[in-house]
Amino acid sequence: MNFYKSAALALDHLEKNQGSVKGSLAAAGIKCTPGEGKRILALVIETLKYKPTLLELLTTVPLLSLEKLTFPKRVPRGSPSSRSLLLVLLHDLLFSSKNKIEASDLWPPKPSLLKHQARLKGELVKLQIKKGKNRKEDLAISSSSNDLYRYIRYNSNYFKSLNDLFNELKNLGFIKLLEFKYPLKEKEYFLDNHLNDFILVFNGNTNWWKGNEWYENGGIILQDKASCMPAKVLMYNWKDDEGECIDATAAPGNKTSYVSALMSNKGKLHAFERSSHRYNTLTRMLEKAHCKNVIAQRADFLESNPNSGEYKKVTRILLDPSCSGSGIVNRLDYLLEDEVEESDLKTERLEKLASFQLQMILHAFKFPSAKRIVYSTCSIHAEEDERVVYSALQSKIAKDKGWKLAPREQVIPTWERRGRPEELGGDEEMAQGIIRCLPEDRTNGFFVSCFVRDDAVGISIKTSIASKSETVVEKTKSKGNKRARDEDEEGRREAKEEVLVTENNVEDVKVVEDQVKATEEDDTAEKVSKEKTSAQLERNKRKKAAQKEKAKKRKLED
Amino acid sequence: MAVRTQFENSTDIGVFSKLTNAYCLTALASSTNFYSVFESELSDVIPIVHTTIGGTRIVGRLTAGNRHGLLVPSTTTDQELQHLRNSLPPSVAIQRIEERLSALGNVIACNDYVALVHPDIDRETEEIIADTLKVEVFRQTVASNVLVGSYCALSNQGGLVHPKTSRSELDELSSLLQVPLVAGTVNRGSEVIGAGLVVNDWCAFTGLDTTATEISVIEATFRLQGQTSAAVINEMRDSLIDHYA
Repeated sequence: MNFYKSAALALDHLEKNQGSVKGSLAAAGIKCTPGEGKRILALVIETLKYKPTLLELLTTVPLLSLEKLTFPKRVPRGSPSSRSLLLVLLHDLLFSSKNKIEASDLWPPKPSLLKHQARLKGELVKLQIKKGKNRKEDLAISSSSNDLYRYIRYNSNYFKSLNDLFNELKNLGFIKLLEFKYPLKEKEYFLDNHLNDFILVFNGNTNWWKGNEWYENGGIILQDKASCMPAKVLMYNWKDDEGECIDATAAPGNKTSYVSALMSNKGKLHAFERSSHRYNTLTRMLEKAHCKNVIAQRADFLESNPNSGEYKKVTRILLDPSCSGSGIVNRLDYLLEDEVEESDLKTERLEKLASFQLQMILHAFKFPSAKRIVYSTCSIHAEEDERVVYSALQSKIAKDKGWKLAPREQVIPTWERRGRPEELGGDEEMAQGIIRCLPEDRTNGFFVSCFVRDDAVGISIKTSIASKSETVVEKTKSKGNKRARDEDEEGRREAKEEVLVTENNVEDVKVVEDQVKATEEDDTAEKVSKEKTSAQLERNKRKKAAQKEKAKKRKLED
Repeated sequence: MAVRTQFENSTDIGVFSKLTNAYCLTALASSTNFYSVFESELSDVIPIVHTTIGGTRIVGRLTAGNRHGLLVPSTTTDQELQHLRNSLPPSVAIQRIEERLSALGNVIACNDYVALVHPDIDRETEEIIADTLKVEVFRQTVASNVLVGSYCALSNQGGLVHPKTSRSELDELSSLLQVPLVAGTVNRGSEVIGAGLVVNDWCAFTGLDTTATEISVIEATFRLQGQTSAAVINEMRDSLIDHYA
């Protein structure tokens, strides 16, 4: 019964505040053992799936008014709302595998719900017929087509070859297709047509890797196709003796390990990560992926000294700074109703993020021997994408050092969806040098751009526009950045604890297989959960402040 | 086979009798003509019980039941209840219901698996129906009539409903009941199906006024025609072979 109360509390929390489903338990302040957490989360997720159906059922069978005594309108502080409690109980009664409420008969809500069992079951069948579903399971909200594909990256740092992987798959009964084709059947796979040396595409329903030694030992890594692109673009034409690389924001380390693999696990790759918790994730992932050439350090990239001897040989830098994560297709987000974010709040947040991102790029420009910088985000907003790139190119340092945008030939030319020229001062050529991914491309929303130097083919901005807006850039830099950084820092510190719990949960939930596919591996997902929680905290703070003011006013009126 | 009969010059035989797959109730009458018609069709197969309910002869409208049970209204006397207990097979559960809508035959229409009930029936009654008759209970109307028992006749094979039932309602009802439904009449155009027709899985009795066309519709709907063993095997062959293939 505590179990139902906790689940209902989590539902309440999700309704009041925006936030991820997985984080709701921690955010609602529910204390439980990991095992319990798993169960509660599973119940929350399942209830959310059937929420519209259950709510419709509650309109035909008005339990809230029929059982006023056990499900009162006003509940004491700290206990869940009657509506949410009813939802979880109804879910267990009607949709769970055992079709019963697992609580004592003496707990008042149970008998008062069971009184209406016959009617509820009848109404459910009627609803099912009305919706034209054959099984009641079909009443659940299902995720969109995005789960149709699963990308797996072969990790060349592993001691077995790609051919060994093919053989392993053959033994498991998979058929390798020579040409790419969508949709895929259950037991088919093929090498991706854009990143064909590492990425394998599977049907979204397969999970052969669970418990497989290839996965357990880091021979393969679950990673979205889009988040592999930055590393691929960065390591264009890499020669082993070229120098060293930097990954400026490394955790959780999937992109880093890809870069490391593309360096053939040789040379030196400096990986920065600021947060200690995420740093731990990073080292864990790097170890699992057998990266021997990575020097991970818990430090802020922005505070590194570009001119120190340590980074003298750095020629390539990967920048994947925090972003709004608007491109990420969270596997559970479809369960929550879309709340339209207040637009000015959103733009404010985007502005802050953009100025931080710009700062990262400008800092990277300072490295003396850097030749190639890849800037990527998992956002689909132009504010964080093309506009940041454009202002970076307009900056003084970019011009002094001769940074330009790499042409399409160097940035996965076969990818069709390129940058938006209207956000780049109408320059079609520059837009061609940028990659964008959208969920329609069977990936997460993503953005990749590449800056080059000392390269004849690079594309620079037409000078006429540049001089005008340069001052603007400088201004935003001096004004916006400091504030943004401070707030970012603050939010992060507060969010850290929360994230810690969230991520623990993520581990647990993996067992709740089908509902919660392990998004943990997706390079970008973690970054965003952090961003989301910090943004969420900010919003909550504002809400609370508003509420307090209201309360004060009320007091005064009294 | 559908048989035409009447009860003391009344063609509303559904009022005076109740027919299920496990038993049949008939009202006490001055002659045994009515009883004999049932006896000639059903004797040695299921028990036929002469009874009154609450001292009245309208047993068909006051009771509801199927193979699993029989529901009687609160007006039923202890004596009648005892008589029913003695006459019905032990597998049939008998339950007296305290329900405001006491004409249970009018507010409940059921076969062995599903019951349609009056939308305003008590919650407790609903529970008892589900438990005693072992059915899924649906609050429903038939052609906007709340007296579902009066306006339809159901068996496990099919159902006949009020002639003004709309197409969409027919679809909804038949997907609830999982049997084919036909909108039709009995007793030369009467829309009160429940009063003119009693039916189980292998035979039907209708009022004496029922026309030949109505009879043929009834026999087709409830699959009462040509159900010789050969016909059954022919009909089932496809599914059997498909099943065991």
